[in-house]
Amino acid sequence: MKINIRGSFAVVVTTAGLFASLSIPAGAATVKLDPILASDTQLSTTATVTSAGSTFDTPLFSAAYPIYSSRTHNATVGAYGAGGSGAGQTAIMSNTADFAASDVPLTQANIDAATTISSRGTLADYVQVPVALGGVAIAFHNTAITTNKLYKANGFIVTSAILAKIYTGAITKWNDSAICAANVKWVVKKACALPNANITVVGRSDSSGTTYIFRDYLHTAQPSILTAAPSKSTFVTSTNGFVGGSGNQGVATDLENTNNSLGYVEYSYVLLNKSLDAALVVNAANKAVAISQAGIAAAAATKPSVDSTNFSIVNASGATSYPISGYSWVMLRKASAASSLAQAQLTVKLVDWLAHSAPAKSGLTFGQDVAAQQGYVALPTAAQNVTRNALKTITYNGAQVLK
Amino acid sequence: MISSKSVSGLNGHDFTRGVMPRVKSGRFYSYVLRGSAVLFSAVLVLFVWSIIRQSWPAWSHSGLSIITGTNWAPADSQFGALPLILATLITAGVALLFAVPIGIGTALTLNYIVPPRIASPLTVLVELLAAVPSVVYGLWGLNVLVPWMSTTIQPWLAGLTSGGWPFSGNAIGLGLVLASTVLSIMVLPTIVAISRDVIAAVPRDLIEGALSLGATRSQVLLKVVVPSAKIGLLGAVSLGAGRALGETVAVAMVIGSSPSMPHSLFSLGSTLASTIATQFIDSSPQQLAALGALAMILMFLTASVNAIARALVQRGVKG
Repeated sequence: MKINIRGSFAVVVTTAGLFASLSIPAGAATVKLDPILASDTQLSTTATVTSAGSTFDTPLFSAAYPIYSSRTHNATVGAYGAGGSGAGQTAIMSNTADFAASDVPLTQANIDAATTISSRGTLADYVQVPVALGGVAIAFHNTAITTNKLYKANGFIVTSAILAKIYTGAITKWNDSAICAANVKWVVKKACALPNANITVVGRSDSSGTTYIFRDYLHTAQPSILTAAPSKSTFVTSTNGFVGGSGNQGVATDLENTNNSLGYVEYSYVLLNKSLDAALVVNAANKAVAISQAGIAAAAATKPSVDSTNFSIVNASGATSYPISGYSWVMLRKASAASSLAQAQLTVKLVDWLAHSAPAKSGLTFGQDVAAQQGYVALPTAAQNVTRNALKTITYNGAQVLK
Repeated sequence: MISSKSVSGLNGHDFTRGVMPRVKSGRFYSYVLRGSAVLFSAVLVLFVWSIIRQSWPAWSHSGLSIITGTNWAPADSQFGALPLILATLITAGVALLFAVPIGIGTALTLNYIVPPRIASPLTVLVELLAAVPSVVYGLWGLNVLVPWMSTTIQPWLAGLTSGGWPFSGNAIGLGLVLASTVLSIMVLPTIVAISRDVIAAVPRDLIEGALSLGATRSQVLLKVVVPSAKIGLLGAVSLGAGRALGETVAVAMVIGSSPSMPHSLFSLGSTLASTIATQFIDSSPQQLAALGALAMILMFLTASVNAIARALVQRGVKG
């Protein structure tokens, strides 16, 4: 059913996009597109583009590709191969995809480890640009809390210290003194109204970019509690008895089915699963904030010059910043390995289109407009410019492709 | 007088050797048959070889500690698969503990107890159970059985042993006991279908003989029918065991996906097959090799079950 809605929605948007592109000559007088975006659908000859990687980006790419290809007559945009970030990194290193998506940027260590791929090169051979922005929600299922009349007015608040202690096993009860201290409104007549029940902790059973952002947050905010450097490695170990869910949906389903459980999922999964509640998280400015597109955008705005080696926006300053946020990345070859100029053009123009929002009142739908509709947060203008400038460094046979 | 030629058969071949005569017109057909036999064995050999090759980096990294180690943390290069092996054996074992008596009992009922006009619709129902895809069992387990388990069944089980082994620990629905329950329902149709056929093949005169000697119905079923069909029943159980050991999606959805050492039937776990299914996406090459090692262990387990069943059948034939 959901797929049908999404499918028919894509058709509507596609049709709207078609009409809009036909009306560009008339509309051009009122809305001025920059020259690159104005020619985003112009290809010298027919070409095909292939892409693969992170499942985090699947909803965005599957909704955005049909819109782009319907506007670009010479282009064939192949279906996105959602095999995970690791598969995407392998695909771009071995030149089997024109571009790949990964939740965490490729590092020199990743490249060094891929000894079986002869075309892997070095980190300098790749261009990595942000393409999606999202947040990680602290989702929980505790009917004793959510049916309490205190919940509606005060929510349920967690801090980085509480989360780090829950995920290292130091906090096991919902009415732990640290949790009660963070939720002062729940302390009525010196008695903590939070339930005296064990927390069933849910993590990911697979390695995941969502886990990376969450670990990055805990390590950045509480380095003395979660000492390990951020990684995609699961929290579910052989000794702690945490529940493992496969993928964001797996975690969401485990939470729905288990009372007294707490876990972390990508923001759109809280939106999709109405029965899940998201905790308020205390940010670096000591304010408890709910997860929202505005809060994630505020966190991203604190670091305008994001790049693939300095990308972390967790625990961002600012009173409205939601502290567990992060980017997803697209990786391309700096010297395009495309078989024709048109293919190189299509690759770069598609990524440029994906990373931009259409100007207001232009009637067009660009990649970041689709992102906002699909539960992501549109990239801040600064990040869109970062992407544009990085894409300009890509060459085909020594000549700049995007111009 | 009959010539010696006509006795030894067509074109002078001796059928008693168990080899078909080579007639010119049949040569092409025999090549096709041999070819497919060779091809099939070659596919199997190449398949096993490729899994060994794929998993080799993991074996050379961790050696036999893959089988004896208790810490499965692939991202930290810890490949101790003992918890996974134990969870696989426990869930399959508990599932068979319930599915075998119920399955054989159902087969006996369908053959001898209820009249055919009731038996045939029941048979169709049981066979439909086999046609349900495993992911549907998983969804059903997750959405229907998990809440029921955690609020009703697990508290009742825990009450039986007053919270002691094997029903100790946190009762959250997910876990070994739920995986075993789902598995036992999944292997039931396999066991029923095969047992029904082998039980139906028990010679009529054996049963009538026993009845004429004054045996009761339960004596006939348990002392005549089951013993004379035991080889076929063993085959049914070993097929069921194979399915229980290798079942992937449904188990992955209800077992809790936590590679912890099982302490009780309420423990969360992760079987060999479910771990492969949930972790292969986004795995580094080294993790993939470790998952290949799990596949090898799983193949070894299912092959062992098969071998044990064969050995029992051999003994049964001789005895």
